[in-house]
Amino acid sequence: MSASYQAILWNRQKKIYDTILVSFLLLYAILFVSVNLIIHPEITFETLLIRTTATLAFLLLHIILMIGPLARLHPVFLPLLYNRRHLGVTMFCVAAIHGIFSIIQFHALGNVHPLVSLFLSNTHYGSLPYFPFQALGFLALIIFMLMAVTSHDFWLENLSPKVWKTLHMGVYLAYALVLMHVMLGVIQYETSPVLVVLLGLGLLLLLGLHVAASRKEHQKDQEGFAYNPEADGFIRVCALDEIAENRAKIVSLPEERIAIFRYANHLSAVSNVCKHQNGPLGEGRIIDGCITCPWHGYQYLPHNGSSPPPFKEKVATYDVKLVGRTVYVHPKAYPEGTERPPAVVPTNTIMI
Amino acid sequence: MIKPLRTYHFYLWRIWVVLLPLGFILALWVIPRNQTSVHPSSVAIKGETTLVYHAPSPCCDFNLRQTTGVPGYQLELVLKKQLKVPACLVYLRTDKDQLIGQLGQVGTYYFDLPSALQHFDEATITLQDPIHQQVITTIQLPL
Repeated sequence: MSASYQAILWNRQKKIYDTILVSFLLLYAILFVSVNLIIHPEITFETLLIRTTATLAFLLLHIILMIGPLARLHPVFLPLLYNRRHLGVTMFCVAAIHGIFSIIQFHALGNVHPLVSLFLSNTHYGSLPYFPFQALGFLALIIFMLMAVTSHDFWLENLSPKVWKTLHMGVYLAYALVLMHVMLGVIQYETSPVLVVLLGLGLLLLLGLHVAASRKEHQKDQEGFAYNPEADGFIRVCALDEIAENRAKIVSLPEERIAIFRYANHLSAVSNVCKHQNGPLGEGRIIDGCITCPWHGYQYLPHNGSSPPPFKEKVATYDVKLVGRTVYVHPKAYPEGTERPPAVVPTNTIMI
Repeated sequence: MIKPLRTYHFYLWRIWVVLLPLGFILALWVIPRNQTSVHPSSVAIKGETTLVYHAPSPCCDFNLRQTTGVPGYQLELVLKKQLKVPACLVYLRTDKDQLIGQLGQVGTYYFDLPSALQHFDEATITLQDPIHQQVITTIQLPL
């Protein structure tokens, strides 16, 4: 969280994250090159470089695509999500090295422009076995490039989180393109089954994780339709004891989710959607009197949904009331940053 | 995520769970069936050999050798200068195409040819660029 833009807002977590990332890259490169030099001693430097970067980028892409659903399925994976953008930009850089060297290697020796050669040297677009698979990889690289150059918070702020997130969901299309790039490319003349098996396992893992995570979220959204408003428009949420101190209960309404926080004998409700990257505020907790997003630590004051000065982020607020030991929320959202009086939890109410 | 994006994610992955495995299986389905049975040998055959055929070309020399008293052949391919194409596959063509290996750096490569080759009167060795789908060179092997 920053009041001004910096290239990278370094902190201890990011330094640890990036140190592990760079160590992994180096270790993978050393291992892959060593094994290939043993198995294929005749291999050229260019081919080795192209293969190393190709496999490394595809492996990183799998890891990146696994982090999102894993974090949705279990909070233990949230630390991986915190600095996923560095992982994404790194993956793009590795994929770009692969793409650039492949274009030089395969298309720079002719009498036409390499990019023209990329799309027109093989024109079997109607044939599956002879399909010009390199074009698929190139299109995926363009998507990765758009994602990498817009990865900074400057673009997130200026494009709006919704547009930014939609753009970055292009990674799912890019994955499909890369998968077919590999399947219609190297797999067509690779004699070892190892690569096919690894690709198949990666595909199954990603499909399983994303379907499980999206199903879980979809079920939560469907629960919202079960809430029936009372005569005054309030909706019964839960018993007070179901909300732990400094934690929230999330209510899924047809429009969007609301997070009702309990803190210091008060109850306040805000939109569950963080203004930064639309993270689930209700899965965070109150730290230093502020609602803290579990994804990147963005903070909001619970009674008005505003970030503490000098930050300017604001989320919508809602009315909450406590009747006996039952918590109610009104589904009408107030404009972002509107102060609403919190419901007071009587001090003689015993927390179980 | 906001609800519209959650819904988008939900339906996209339900489509992907059908399309991606389908693409995966189709790509496996179209792999040429006759290209995986023979691997190149990294060493020359031992024992007394006979040079059956020698064919020089500007980029490489083809030497077909046979061990005395043993069925089957070994193709010695001497790549004399770096190929202009970066990927080069070596096919043996008889009544069908068979991938027997790949070429990389300048050097000598050995490919053990299947013993069934002796049943044919002639075979063809083709060097092919798989990226551009172009034939680099072809030689006939009189057997």
